[in-house]
Amino acid sequence: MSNGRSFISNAREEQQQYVSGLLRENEKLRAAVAIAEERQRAALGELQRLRARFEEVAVENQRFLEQHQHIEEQSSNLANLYVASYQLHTSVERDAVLTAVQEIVVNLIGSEQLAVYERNDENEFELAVSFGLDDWQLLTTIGGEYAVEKLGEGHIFRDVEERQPLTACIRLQVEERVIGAVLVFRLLEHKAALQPIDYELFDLLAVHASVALYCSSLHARSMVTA
Amino acid sequence: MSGKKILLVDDSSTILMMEKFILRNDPYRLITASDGEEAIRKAASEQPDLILLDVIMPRMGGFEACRLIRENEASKDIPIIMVTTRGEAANVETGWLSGCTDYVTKPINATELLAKVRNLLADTAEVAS
Repeated sequence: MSNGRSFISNAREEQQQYVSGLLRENEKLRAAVAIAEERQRAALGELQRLRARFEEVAVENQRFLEQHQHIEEQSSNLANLYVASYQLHTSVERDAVLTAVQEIVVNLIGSEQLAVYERNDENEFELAVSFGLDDWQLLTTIGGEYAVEKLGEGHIFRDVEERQPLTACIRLQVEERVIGAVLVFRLLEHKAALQPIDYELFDLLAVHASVALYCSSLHARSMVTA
Repeated sequence: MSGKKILLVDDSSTILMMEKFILRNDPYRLITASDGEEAIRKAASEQPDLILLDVIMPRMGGFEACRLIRENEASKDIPIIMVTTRGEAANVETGWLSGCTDYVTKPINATELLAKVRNLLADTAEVAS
């Protein structure tokens, strides 16, 4: 009987020890879970911070990309203007200046139809050079001198979408005297519309082609008198 | 990309100057030719990494030059970008048939040209390595 009591007592004691052990283990696990949860919260916070930073960097990156593209575009525009100016003033020979005007219109503006008129000693506009046009087009479609007289007061731009034959008339003027005009007709087929740089090139032609042509005529006269 | 050699072929000094300006900020060595015949000679002798080839030139145009560059063992693998004022499909098709790798239209868009040049030169670097 006493052996039976002792056995039960031992069993209870073992059970209590076992339960105590389980409770301690449970306590440890709870503490570990709490630490893990804390770490998880910290990690989530860090993840959120990194995501926000990533978005900031992406926005910044996009801004730099846009700035880079803008700078490349500006650089290209400046190159266009520099090259055009350089070519116009490379020579004082009239033919070379007219070739430079033609190259600028064809290669930098993008039209394979142009005509350059100069005012002669009789004060009449005379066709100096044309490219990609025949006389019939000059005289009947556009009206040649008529266009220069009527439109020579400045740039006239037609709606390029409608593919009007005359895209621009650039007045060539030295001080107050109009010495000629550059007529730019159709743009190339793949060029949908004039770009901002084209207007700057028109302005550049208006000033620099005028001066270059004027200098070439002075040079020609000086050569004759010499 | 450093030191890559590009052959610029055009009879127009305006275009050659523009191309040099556009490519000047990247470390390329630029050489020039003013017609198709000179382009063929320099493609074989100079072994450029890339050729920018104008279509309409005196003596020999770009399409024929492109075809002959492709027929020459010494230059057949050099990438060629045709530079053309004619952007219409038939003209582009002729360029592909003559063996060009890509094309750009005039007036040259600097961003487009730079992207194509960098892309093709990166490709050749990968093939070489």
